[in-house]
Amino acid sequence: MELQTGFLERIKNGEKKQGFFSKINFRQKKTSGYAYTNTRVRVMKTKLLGKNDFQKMMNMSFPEIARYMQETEYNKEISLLATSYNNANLIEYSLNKNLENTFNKIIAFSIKASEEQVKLYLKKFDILNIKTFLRGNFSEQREETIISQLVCAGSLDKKFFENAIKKSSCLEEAAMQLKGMEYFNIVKEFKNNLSKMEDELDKHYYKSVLEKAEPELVAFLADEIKVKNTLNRLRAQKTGIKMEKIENESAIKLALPKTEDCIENRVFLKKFLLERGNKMAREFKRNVRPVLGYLIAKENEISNIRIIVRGKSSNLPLNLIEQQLVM
Amino acid sequence: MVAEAIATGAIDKGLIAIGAAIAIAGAAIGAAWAEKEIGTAAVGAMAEKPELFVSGLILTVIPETIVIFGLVIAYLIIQIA
Repeated sequence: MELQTGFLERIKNGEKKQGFFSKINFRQKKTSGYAYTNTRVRVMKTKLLGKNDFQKMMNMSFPEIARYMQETEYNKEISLLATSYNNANLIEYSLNKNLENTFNKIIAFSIKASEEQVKLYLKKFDILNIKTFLRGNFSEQREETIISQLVCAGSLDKKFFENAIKKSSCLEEAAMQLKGMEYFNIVKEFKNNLSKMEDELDKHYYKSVLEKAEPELVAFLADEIKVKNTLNRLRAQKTGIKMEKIENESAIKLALPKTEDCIENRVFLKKFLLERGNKMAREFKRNVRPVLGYLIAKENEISNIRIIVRGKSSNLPLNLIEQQLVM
Repeated sequence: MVAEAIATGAIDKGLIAIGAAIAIAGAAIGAAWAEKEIGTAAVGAMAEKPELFVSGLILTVIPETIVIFGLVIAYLIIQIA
């Protein structure tokens, strides 16, 4: 009896178990459940739209695309938003909503070890939403317009942004809504220079995530940073802007095809990330890599549909739209 | 006492029974571990595609054959006695 009471008290006080049993629990926490999460995500990946679907969509009108998407995983979102929006806006907002729903679903069914890493990766949507919120406020957009642009897949939910938009009539008030958050100091410091603030928020995201991430996520983020830096360098070269010298530059540079074409280079870099993701999704290991692989493939699918829809609404030639797709 | 047990053959039979038990227990533990892994993966796949139920069920019970091998080996060991 004494032994039992002592044991229960130790659990209540949050003390860890000592010896052999602690090792068993540690193994269980780290490994069990990966089979469920990773297989489910792999099945979800088989349902993503492929090259043929994108080619079909390119030859369709907006209502036809919406109808086609209703036969896929986007059914729920299209049906929900069809009463409020139409044409390109309907598809665009459905994409945002679907991305949000899919990522929240993954967090809900992932085991704890995967969930923590996925949440860290999805912090980028918090940053994205904060940028949208501040930019929307700066350009005096309507509440509904800002809300419909958000992808609430991170830790900040829709209610938070709804309240924040209602309470803020100027950029200063909008910045104050972030008080108590890790982003507040950056927003406060650079509130007079929005583009600088956005850069600093991005840098903060990578710094904070890399501190807590496990090696699998660190390796992927390192690739993502490489791609972003190479893209920025290309854009700077194209526009004649001088970039600061980066230490150990060869380590972050990627070998590009020998072309001056910006679109070709961008597609090449995005394809590089997508192929990394596909490789990760095929792995049969007890880690978060298959889930990360799916997240990348899903984001790419959304980006491709967006390119088609926005390209068609701007009346771009089909071959130019096809050139920009990452497949 | 030990000498008496050897003379009556009690120890030999006991050891044979333990050998048979180890054969079936090892096979059963192995099958259980494999079924756990395959089962969780199959449920994950079925959650997204319910039509995978039949193939998931078949794959889940395949490791049961390991137990049959264990049973056969245990039976053969017991035959020695």
